[in-house]
Amino acid sequence: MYNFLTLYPSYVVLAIVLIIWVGIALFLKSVDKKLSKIESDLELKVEKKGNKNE
Amino acid sequence: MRIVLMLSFITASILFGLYKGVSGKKPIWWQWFAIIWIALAACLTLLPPLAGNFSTARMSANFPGQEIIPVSFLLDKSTISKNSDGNWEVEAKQIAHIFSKNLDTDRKYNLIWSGDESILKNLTGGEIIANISYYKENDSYNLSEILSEDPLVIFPFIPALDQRVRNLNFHVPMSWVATIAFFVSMIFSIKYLKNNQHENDIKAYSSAFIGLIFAILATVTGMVWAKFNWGSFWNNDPRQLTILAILIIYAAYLALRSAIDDEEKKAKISAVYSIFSFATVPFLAFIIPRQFASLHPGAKDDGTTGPVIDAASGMLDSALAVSYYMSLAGFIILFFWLLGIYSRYKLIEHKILEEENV
Repeated sequence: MYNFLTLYPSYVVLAIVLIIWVGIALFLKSVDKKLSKIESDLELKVEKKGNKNE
Repeated sequence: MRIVLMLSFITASILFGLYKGVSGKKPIWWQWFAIIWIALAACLTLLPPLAGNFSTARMSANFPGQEIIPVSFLLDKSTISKNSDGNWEVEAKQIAHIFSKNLDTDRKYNLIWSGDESILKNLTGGEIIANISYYKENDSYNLSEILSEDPLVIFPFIPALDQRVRNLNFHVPMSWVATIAFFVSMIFSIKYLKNNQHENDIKAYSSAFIGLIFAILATVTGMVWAKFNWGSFWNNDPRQLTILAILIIYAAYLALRSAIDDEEKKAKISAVYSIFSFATVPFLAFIIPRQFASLHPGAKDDGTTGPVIDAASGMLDSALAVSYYMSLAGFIILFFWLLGIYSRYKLIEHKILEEENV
């Protein structure tokens, strides 16, 4: 792998671009997960309110 | 001039990023502009061919394994002739680009081509980039492969960096974005201490958190680049050590916040911490690395302030510099977009918690 990347420096650039976009994608994934949790909490609350009203 | 241009790009992208405020929902046209700008910057970084000159080819002949380099030149098709070895010979002239303006453009170089004559004859007659190697024995240049004809943009070929020169447009903006993020965090911390609005504390935290992500990305991308240019992932270089210090300082900021339960106490203490920790950033990011000998450009023995801001360093020609500024602006815009999304999420979470407590 090291020899391959030394022979073809363009792939080092590709690796660096990938690291950045994977990092940003992981951040977005964590925000998405937290938002989903908030959404499900809110749905639960709405359901509870609905049950009380019934 | 270069520093003015870079600061203009930074200021314009910050102002654009702040459109509708930090936590305001960005309009559709804003989002499309950001996407197109980032895509354009990526294309301008990855697509232009690299090209050196004949003196670079002559110099590279001394380094085994690196003898063949891309060179840009103009071919004089009227001089195509067959030599005694059965190969084609043709005269070429160098083209002075901004990064190589001191070149002798009148001097003629004899190129030897062992391929088909029709390939040479079918060339447009404009600028050509081709793989060239220099042979000391008979003081000649061998043309082995034509890479590009009439290129719109060319990046300078730097023998030690080769294609890795493009990393500059990805790795360096990470550090700049981290610095800007920590600055934004400090501004909102000051605002919080002034008006005691919890919204500002959330924005300060969000900015510091995203800044830390960009600082980690700067460190990791730098480590990968270091492995292929300096031989190992970690070299205890002053700039590597200072970014490590910044990472520790801001990781401690997050640890401090998670250690305090009382919301108001947490916000006040972390606002003060954020202000003091940003006071160290200019020293750690800009001053200390320039006071010591370093592998990074712009070090004490380098004689320049670094290729990004110093035109005298000669590494960044205008094309590479403009693509770098575009990339930097793109990542700043992306940072404000991420900051908007994250702070909006944090504000919603805070409102829900507040409602639960009421």
